[in-house]
Amino acid sequence: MNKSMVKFAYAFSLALVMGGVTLVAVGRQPGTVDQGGKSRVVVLSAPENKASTPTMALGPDGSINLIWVEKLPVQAKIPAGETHTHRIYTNLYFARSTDGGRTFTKPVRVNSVEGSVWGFSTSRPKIVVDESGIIHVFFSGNRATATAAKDATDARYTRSTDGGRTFERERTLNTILKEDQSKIVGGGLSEAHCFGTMAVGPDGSVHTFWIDTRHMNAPGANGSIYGAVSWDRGKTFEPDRLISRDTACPCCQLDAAFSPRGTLFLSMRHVYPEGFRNSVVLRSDDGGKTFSAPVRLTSKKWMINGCPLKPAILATDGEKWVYAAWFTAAETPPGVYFTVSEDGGKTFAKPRAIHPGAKISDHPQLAVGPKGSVYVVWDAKVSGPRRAYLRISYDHGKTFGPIRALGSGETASMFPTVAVASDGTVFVAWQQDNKILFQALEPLIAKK
Amino acid sequence: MDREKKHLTGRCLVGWMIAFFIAIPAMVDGGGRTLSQAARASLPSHLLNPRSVELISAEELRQLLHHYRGRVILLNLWATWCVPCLKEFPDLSKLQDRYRDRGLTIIAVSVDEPDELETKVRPYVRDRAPTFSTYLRKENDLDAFVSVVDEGFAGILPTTYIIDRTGKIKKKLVGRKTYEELESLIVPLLR
Repeated sequence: MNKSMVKFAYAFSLALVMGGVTLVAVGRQPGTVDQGGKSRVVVLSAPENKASTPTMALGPDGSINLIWVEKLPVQAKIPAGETHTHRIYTNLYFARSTDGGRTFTKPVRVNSVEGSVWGFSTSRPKIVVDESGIIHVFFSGNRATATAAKDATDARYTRSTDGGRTFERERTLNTILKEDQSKIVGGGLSEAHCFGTMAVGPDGSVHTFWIDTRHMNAPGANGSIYGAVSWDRGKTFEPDRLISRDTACPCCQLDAAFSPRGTLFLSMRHVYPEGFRNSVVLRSDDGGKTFSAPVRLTSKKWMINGCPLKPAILATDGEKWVYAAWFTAAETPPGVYFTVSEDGGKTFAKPRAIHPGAKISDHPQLAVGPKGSVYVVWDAKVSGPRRAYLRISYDHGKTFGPIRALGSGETASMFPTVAVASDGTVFVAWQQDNKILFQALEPLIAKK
Repeated sequence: MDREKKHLTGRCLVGWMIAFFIAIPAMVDGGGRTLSQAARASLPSHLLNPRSVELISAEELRQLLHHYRGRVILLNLWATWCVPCLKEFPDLSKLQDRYRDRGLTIIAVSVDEPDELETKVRPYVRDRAPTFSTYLRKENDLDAFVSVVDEGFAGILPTTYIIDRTGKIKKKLVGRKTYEELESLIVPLLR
C-alpha cells in the first residue's frame, strides 16, 4: 500500500467516524444532528422504527419530559400469548432531560405490553407532571375483543413515581362493552374509547376524558364524551361516567387544562343539530362534576360531514386568560387560528390566523411562559415540504411576533410540541424523517 | 400510372386498416377506455385493473389520472378509520355502476399508513367489495402524495375531487356528500 492510499484510507475512516458521531443516533441512545441552529438537535427515537407524535411536559424541577410513539416494522413479532390486537404494532416511549435538553435519559417504554398502543399523530398521548413530580400519561391502547376477530381501542392511564425510570402497568379506564359496534365504528374496530386527553388539577386530581362510541348505534349518532377521575394522584380511579352524550365529532381529539385555582376547561368539536361542527370550550367550576354549555371559539360555522381530525388546544394563564389554537375551515383561509378569552372562558376574542399566506397550516400546540407570553407551534406548507414553526406573543395573545421556522426545511417536519421554562428558554420537539427531534432554543422573553 | 397509383392507394388503405385494427386493442382497454400510450407504457398493469387494493405512488397516481383523461374522474381520499368515508362507499359504488358506460371513473385512494395494506386496508375493502378501483398511498409524506392534485389538502376526510374530461379539477368536496349531491356535479360533465 503506498502513502497516498494510506492517507486516503485514514481520511475515509476519519470521515466515517465523524459522520457517525455527528449524524446518526445509534440504537436506543439519543443522538444529535446538526440542523444549523444555535443549539443542537437531539434525536430521541430509535432509527429502525417509525416515530411520531411527540408531546412534552415540564416538571416542577425544570425537567423536560417527552413521550412519543414508535411504530415497529410490520414484520415485528408480538410475544406469544399476548392478547392485544396484532394489527398495529406501536409503542409509547418516554425520555427525560434534567440539564436543559443537553442530554436525555435512555428512552423507556411506557406501555407494558409490546406493541399495544393505538397511536397516531392526530391522537396524541398526553403527559402531565404534577407538583409532586409524578408523571401521568394517558393514551389509547389496542385490545382484541372476545370474538378475537375484532379490535377495540381503550382509554389507558399509567404513571411513574420514580422520575420516569419505570411506569406502572397501564389501567383501562373505560367500561368494556359487550356489543359489537364494528358496523358503525369502521376500521375493523368493534368499539372505541379514544381521542382522549388529561389534565391534572392543583389538588393533584387527575381528570381523563375520551370520545366514546357506546351511544352511536342510532342512525346519525355522534360520539359521546366519557371521563374518569382520580382523587389520589392516579393511584385509583373512579368508574367512568358520561360527560356529554351524542355531541362530539368522533375523530377530533379532546383537550383539557386547569387554571391555577382549579377551574377546568375542556375542548371538543361539537356537532350542532344544524350540521355544523365547531370547536368549543366547556368550563367546570366544581372539579369536573358539571360543565357549562359549550362556548364556540368562532361565531362562524364549519359545515362539514367528515373527519377533520382537528383538536382545539387549550392553555391557561391565571384565572383570567384562556388560550385556544386550532385548525378551522370556518374562517377564510382555512388554517390554524388563535383566540383568547379574558373572562375565564365565557367569551372568546375574534380569531386571528397564525400563519397567513401558508398554503396549509395545521397541528398547533400551545405553551404559556412568564410575563404574559404565549407560544404557539404548528406545521405549515409554504414552499417545499411541510415545516414546523413557532410564534410568540408577549401580551397575552393580543399580538404575535414574527414566524420562526424550526429545524431544517429539507424534509417534512410536523406535529411540533412546545414547553417554556421559567427563564423563557423554549423547548421544542417535532417529527421529521420518522424520527423525533428535540431542540432547546435560547430564552425568547421580550426585553423591556 | 393510374393503375399503379390505384394499386399503391389500395396497399396504403389496406396498410392503414391493418394498422388501425392492430392499434385499436392497444388504444382501448377492457373497459372501453381510450388509453394514453405514455401512461400505458409506464403504468404497471395491476394499477390499471386492480383486483384488490394496490399501493400507488404520487407519480403513479399522476399517470393514472393522465391515463383516464377523456373520462370524468371522481378521486376520493378516504381512510379505514373514517366513518363518513365508510358511509360514502356504497354511494360511490352506485355512481360507478350507473355512470361507468357514460364515462365516469371512480378512483379511491386510502391515506392510511402505507405499511397497513395487508393489516387494515385490504381486509377493510374486501368486506365492502366496492365496484371502483381502490389504492393505498405508497409515500409516507402525505403532503407529497396528495400534492399531485392538491397543494392545500388539509387532511380532512373524505375529500373528493371531481375532474372533467380535460383533466381539470372542477370541484373539491370536503366531507361526506350524498349520492344526489355527487350525481348533480358529475352528470353535467358527462354530457
